[in-house]
Amino acid sequence: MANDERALIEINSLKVIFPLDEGTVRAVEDVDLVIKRGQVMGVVGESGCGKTVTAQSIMRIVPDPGRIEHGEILFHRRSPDGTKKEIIDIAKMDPRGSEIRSYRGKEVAMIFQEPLSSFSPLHTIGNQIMEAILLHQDVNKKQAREIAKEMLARVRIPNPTRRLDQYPHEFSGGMRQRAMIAMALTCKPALLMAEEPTTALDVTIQAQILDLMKELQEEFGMAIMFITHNLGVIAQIAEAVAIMYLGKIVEIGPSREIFHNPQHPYTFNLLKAIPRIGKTTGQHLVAIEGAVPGPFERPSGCTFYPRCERIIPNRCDMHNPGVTRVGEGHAVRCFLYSEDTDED
Amino acid sequence: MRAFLLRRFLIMIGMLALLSLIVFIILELPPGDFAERHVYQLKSIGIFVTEEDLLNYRHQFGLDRPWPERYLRWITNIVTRGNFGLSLIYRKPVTDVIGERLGFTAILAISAVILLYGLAIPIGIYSAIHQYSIGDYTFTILGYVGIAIPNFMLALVLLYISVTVFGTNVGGLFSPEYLDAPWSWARLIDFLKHLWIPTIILGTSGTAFQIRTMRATLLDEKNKLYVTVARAKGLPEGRLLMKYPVRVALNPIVSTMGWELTRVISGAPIVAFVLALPDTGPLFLRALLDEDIYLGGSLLMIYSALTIFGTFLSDIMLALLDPRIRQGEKV
Ligand SMILES: Nc1ncnc2c1ncn2[C@@H]1O[C@H](COP(=O)(O)OP(=O)(O)OP(=O)(O)O)[C@@H](O)[C@H]1O
Ligand SMILES: [Mg+2]
Repeated sequence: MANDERALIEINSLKVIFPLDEGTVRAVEDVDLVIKRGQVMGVVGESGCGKTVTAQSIMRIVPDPGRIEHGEILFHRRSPDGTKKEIIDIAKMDPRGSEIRSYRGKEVAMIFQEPLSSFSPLHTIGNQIMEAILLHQDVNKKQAREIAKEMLARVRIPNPTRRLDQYPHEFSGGMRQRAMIAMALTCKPALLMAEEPTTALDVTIQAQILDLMKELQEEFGMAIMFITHNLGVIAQIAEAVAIMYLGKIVEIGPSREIFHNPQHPYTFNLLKAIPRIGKTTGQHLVAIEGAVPGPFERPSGCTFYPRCERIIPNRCDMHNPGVTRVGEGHAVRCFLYSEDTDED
Repeated sequence: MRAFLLRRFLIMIGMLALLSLIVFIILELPPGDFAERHVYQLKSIGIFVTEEDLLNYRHQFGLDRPWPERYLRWITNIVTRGNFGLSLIYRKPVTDVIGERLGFTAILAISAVILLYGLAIPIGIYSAIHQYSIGDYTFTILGYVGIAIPNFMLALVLLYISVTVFGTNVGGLFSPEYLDAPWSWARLIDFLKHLWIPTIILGTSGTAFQIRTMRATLLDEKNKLYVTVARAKGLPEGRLLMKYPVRVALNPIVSTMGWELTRVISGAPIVAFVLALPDTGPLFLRALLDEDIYLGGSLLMIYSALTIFGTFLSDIMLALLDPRIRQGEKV
């Protein structure tokens, strides 16, 4: 996979654990994922499947006591003119060290789910956006302010000069989300990770924000990792989709393939659970049969087998399915398609 | 900001007015009055006093007027002329009796508060960052010991240390040779050499509590999303910590500054008494014991006014710190 010219982030057998007093949570396990330059990758799955932790790992901001147990996160770095190339392994870096800081916020930026608490209440929006600029760009305060202002205007915040000097509590939810996007984009990152960037907003604003993100993505040519429960949103914006279940990617492929030719029984159920597009506006996942097992009770074998309708006895409950290629860029972890196991 | 300050200022004035009334009532509450007490003292040294003499004394001290009139006269004099009335014990204006002593009390209270926060804030930050480390536990234990030891006990221990280790003489704020000397470098240094003991006693009694406050709020704040967002921008850890969570965590510290000052000031007289400090503390205790209402009342009034003023200052600092408060927003 590493020889792909367009590869930007390449995650290889990533495992992230949280050693807690009650036991060890394996939040992310055996995750392989490639995000290409300029690609919009959707990441979908039920609550607790490891979407956030995957994104946090790429940023190396996994909260304590979580840590990357093994695996690599290769970032294909390119100088702005595209001449110099290097591959750095983010997973090997010290999350508190200086090396990671030239990457965090500059090459990869993140928009978090709650625009409300993403800004410090005690500092102006301008101060917080300018901080990102001053950290990564060789400009003085005045220039940084100018860039911040342009960025606010770019995300269509009216009156940007005045807005710069306001505090978060003076912004509405939608405005804060825009400001958050502006802040993330100031350094023109190669990858933007967006976690449910629209859930806290009402429907019309959701649509505006999505359009805006799409527009900026095309303009800056950046890749987006879009994390959501909302398959409707994914259908609108993502080029490829990764479906996660209990810390693993169970199916990954181009959007068209996933939506029209799903292979994994879990993906199948997820899609079945969406109300028909056009009939209702809310396209959130509706609960599917059975409950997700708790973080400490991972089933042996394929983690989905207790809820699976197409279980192969003595196989799915005993062995761990390997990754099978089922089409162009389309892969699935399921014994229905091959007998490969993924055991160490 | 201006509206906020004006509102706080008016509240402060209202509180002061109410306070003066309460102080006056409290001082009127105990049975008997200064005239009776005076007569009793005269009797106890064998002087013969009649019922008429008692009434005379009452009249002489102005104690026979109805209390609202006495109150009004008292407070008007204070406000318009800075005249706190006559001390009944010393038979001198209260201002003369209090004089320089009030300055000492103020210096003592301020240095104690500075010490308190100067210790509590950095230790609280350290403990939060190094949660469950040996340092954290050590400070926690020291803090509890600090709470558990009564002030007078600590006073005695420090006096012992001061005498045995530093060879300074016991108690007071000055060595005998500087007691009535005019101010000079040497006198100032001598003063500082004496000041540290009461400062430590008063300052450290509240440190543990404020360390806990700082530690708890910071632990809470440093895992908040806005901190992660700032980290995700690529901000170095140290700067990140000071700019965001520490700043937010200062909020409860600053807002309790008013009552921390209260605690220090109300603890001061006992400590001053034990250490024989020439500040207002011993005066205050004596005034209360002898029902010298003008002296006691004035001191009580001054102490409480300092507290209210301290609260006002902490409100201002809070407003400078937090834009939501400044703009009158509910937090
Ligand atoms: N700070 C943490 N401490 C302990 N366990 C954690 C922590 N963060 C995540 N986990 C565990 O890691 C697993 C994956 O969590 P993650 O937050 O990545 O899920 P998610 O897919 O983002 O879910 P959601 O859709 O609810 O956001 C869960 O089992 C969760 O319990
Ligand atoms: Mg999540």
